[in-house]
Amino acid sequence: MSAAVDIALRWHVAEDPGNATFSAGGDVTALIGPSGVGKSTLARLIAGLSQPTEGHVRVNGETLYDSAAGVNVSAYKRGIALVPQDSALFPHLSVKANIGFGAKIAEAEIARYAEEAGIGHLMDRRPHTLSGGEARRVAIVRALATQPKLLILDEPMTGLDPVRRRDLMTLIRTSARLSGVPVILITHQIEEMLFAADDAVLMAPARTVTSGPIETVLAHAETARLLNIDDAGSLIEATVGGRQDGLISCCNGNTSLMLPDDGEPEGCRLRLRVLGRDVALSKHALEDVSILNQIECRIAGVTERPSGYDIALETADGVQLKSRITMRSYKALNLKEGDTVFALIKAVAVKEMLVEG
Amino acid sequence: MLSDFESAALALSFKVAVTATLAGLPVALFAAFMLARWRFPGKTILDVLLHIPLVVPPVVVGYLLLIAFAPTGAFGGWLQAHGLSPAFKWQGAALASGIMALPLMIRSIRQAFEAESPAFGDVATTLGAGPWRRFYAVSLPLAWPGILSGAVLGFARAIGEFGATITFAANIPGLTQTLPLALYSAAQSPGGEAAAARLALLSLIPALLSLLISETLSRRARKKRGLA
Repeated sequence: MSAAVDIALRWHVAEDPGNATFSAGGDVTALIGPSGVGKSTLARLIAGLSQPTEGHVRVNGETLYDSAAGVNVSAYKRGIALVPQDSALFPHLSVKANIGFGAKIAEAEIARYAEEAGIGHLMDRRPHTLSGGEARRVAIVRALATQPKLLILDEPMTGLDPVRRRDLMTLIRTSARLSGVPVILITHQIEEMLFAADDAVLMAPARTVTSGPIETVLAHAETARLLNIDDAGSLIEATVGGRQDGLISCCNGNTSLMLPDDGEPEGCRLRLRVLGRDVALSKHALEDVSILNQIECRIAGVTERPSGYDIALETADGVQLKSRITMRSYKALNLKEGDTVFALIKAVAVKEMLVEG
Repeated sequence: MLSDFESAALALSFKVAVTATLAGLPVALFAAFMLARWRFPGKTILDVLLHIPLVVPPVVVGYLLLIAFAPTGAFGGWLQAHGLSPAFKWQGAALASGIMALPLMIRSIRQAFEAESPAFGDVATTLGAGPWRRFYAVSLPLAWPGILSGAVLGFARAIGEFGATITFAANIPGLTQTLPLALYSAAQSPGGEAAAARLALLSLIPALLSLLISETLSRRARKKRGLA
């Protein structure tokens, strides 16, 4: 089966040339890159709102644009819903009428979507009375109600506080999974990519650099520089096992991490992000220490930095971690590739995101 | 309260101005949308042509209409033969005042179309709306306050029209004699000062009424969108 989204485009919009090539198959694909590299331009080109110079746009095997074959489906017939940054709810219509604007699904179905998105009680309100987060939700439901072949969200989390951001990321994931509509999530924030996406496309000024599963994109050499992140950290997929003493244990194979219990249901899937600077190393398992997570790993690689080292670690069943240590520690421990060490991670240093309940 | 002469002039004025506004509105909407949104060769020339009634003396517009509809011409002759010639009829007064009102309506409506953020049209497109639906379901309602004030401006201009009307439709009591023409006649006739003063006061009624209605409607529309 072909990938859900298959894009190869070359463009020259408003004096700015650019090109992009990627395909994506996951529920949510992050289009990530610094501000001003042309992410929104690319979204408009895919949706058909701007015209590329050449290339193709295919969604679920259907060709919507192909310069070689002379195919160019009008934007309004493409079935690609683009939610802009400012939501662009129609100010002259109620929330309900906004959602109904292009809806192809029954009223009952709309009501279900709205409930799911937590906007069921807002249906009779006017857009100007909504908060930023509510407006985003309405805009997303309005787009999903048209049963699009592809949903593109342009920086949907901008301007929201951390709690709303998390809720919205969960909503995006849930809707993508439930509706089966592939989502392209435009963002410049690595957290959004790590927590909301399965695949990612990295974009540099006017070109795409790489694409693939987020772990791959995260590990790409240009990612850290482009996104101006010093410590990308590592990403672990885990399932909630048991709970005890205000802690939950999250497992990936035989590797397990203890985290503060925030009421996550047992068996739910989590995505954990551990920063390199939050991982200490020890040559032996420690006793009498408050650090709960001591994970036995093998040193898979060592990268020198201006004032220290980044140590790549791997557990016996393939979970990857990164530890950032100083030059002094590196020398004192006399570390080298292939050594077995214990990665020490404080439970409270792990950032988590509920992927599937 | 009103003499037959006065109420006839008032009623005729209303008929002429309402017809001029209603008939001019679709033309103004189309022209305003074209000027605000489309790019085409000759746009500047069209823009200038549509503004001519605003800048040339109204008598000139009336005179040009006379020539265009002259029974000796092909078009005027054909209309005459079928009994459709508007010259010296109330329809002629409506045509003359409609043309005089057109540029004001176009200007106001065009500004409203230009003020609309392109994001709304784009979003409507990706939600599956074609050009026609984008026009009537998005642009038109969003421009509603501007269209309203354009219509009121046009109505006020039409009801006060003098030069083009008197030139093209003449000053026939009960037939083409609108309020301004009646006022003019009264002021010209000896001993008509009192009648002229009454007609002048009478002219205020439609003007104030239309302003009041438009202000109320426009305020309501703005309030609904959180703009007031």
